[in-house]
Amino acid sequence: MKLVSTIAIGVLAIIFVCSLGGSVFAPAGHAKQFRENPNSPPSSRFLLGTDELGRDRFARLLFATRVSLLLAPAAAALSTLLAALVGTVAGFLGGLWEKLSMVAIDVFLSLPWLFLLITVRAMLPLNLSPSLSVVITFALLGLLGWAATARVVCAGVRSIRSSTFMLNARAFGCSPQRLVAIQLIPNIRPVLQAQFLVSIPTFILAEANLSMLGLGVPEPLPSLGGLIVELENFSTLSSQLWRLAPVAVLALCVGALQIVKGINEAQI
Amino acid sequence: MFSYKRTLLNSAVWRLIIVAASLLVSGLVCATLVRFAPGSSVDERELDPRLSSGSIAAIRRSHEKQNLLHFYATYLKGALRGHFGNSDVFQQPISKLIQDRWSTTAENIGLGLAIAWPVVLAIAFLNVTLQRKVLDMAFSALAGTLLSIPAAVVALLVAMSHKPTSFAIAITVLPILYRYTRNVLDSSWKRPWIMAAYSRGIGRVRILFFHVVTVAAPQLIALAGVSFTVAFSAAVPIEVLSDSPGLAQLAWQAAIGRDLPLVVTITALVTTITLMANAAATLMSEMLGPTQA
Repeated sequence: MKLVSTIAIGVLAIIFVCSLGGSVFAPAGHAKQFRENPNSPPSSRFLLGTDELGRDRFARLLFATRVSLLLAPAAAALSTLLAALVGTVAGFLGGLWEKLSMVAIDVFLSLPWLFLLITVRAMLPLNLSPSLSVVITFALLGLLGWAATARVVCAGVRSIRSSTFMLNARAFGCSPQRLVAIQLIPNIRPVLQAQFLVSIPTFILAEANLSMLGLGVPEPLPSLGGLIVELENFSTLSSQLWRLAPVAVLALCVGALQIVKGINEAQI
Repeated sequence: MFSYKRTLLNSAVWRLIIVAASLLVSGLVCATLVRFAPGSSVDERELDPRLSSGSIAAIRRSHEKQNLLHFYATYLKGALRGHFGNSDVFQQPISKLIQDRWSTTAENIGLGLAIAWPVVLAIAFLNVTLQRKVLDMAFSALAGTLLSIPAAVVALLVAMSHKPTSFAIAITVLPILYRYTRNVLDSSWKRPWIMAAYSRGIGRVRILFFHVVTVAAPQLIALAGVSFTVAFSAAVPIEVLSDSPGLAQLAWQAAIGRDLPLVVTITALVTTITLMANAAATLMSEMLGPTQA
């Protein structure tokens, strides 16, 4: 198990370092158009060939991976923070607060997540600058992805609230703020950590799905979903397997994250 | 027995209230989002050069009058009578649009789940009964790989191989269902009385169907309810990318076109189906629950 975990972390680290060093491995950059080389096959100059506008596919793949690997954890942190806030308040206060929070969570969870995401994303302006759109897309993932985690946090807080050490602390006159800060938060930290790790691959996949539907990261910025959707135009992939590179990188990232997450859960 | 039936009835009534409240709230939230979305009050007819300034002003006034709460109240009143209004994008009655498309989605999701569930149960039963670590790791690795591929990519690959859309839905929901089913069955298998039965020489298949499945049934039924939501979520990118004219594709077109009445109707419809499926599954689990104690 330790070996599998080490390999997964190694794979993630290699992909992350490569994506960060995009300007070293592909100095031309993701936006430069080589008009004399549109749709060219892989060569020593262009490792994965070029797209129809003559842009280096390898450079675009590195940049897209960087976007996903940097912003998905940020979105996961946002959603975990929101879930911790809602779940802790609901679980700690109990009673009406808990019931109201649970109804809100139920409403959120009753809608298929991707449908909700598409609806809300489509309501936002589509003519923003590409970099702002990237931030909005991931912020939205973070803002809409808290409900399931909040339910788990609430259940965890509820069980801790009625535990003996909490009763003891209360009997010794510990204030509610101190109870939350000293007793509660450290005890739900493993749950939050696990939920944070669960969210990262989910958000990477959601961004890919959104971008493939034209609602994620807009052109000219590359995204994994945006690169994958180019496959739509090719009926025969067997002779052009390099075009599957974005799918392979995405699957490797998400797979490695899932292994890390699974081992983390087993340790908890 | 009487108090058990009463508890069950109370639970059913409470769930119906939650369904109705969730419907009203989610519909209102959606209507609010669409109403305040940038460009929602702009009508493309305003760009028609044949229209006079007076006509354009009248179109603008008609949009100004469309107060959110007024729209929602009128919409609800109509919905109670079976009239959901007209779609702005398609210029057709919404009920007709839904009528035309619901069967495609029902077929896609129904067939997808009909393919996925037997496969999931067969693999999970085999895995739990044999208790072989290598087999478990192989199935888990396969499920993990499938989970690492977005539904949209599965849709593209399935469309390229000329397989039906329901096949893409089956592939997308299969790993999710497998993971839960395997965990539920595995934890039931490891209960002390099951270990005792096994040590007394009772056959594995008998243990599986008479002791493990019966204990895991409430959770599996709940999972069956949730599988509708999972399948509908997967259906959105799959129907869009494989150009299957179903409700999920209509939902995407409505969201892109900021079609307020259509978005609200589809949201209400999807919420109703999801909540009803979940409520039915939970009630069935509760009905089964006491017999297992």
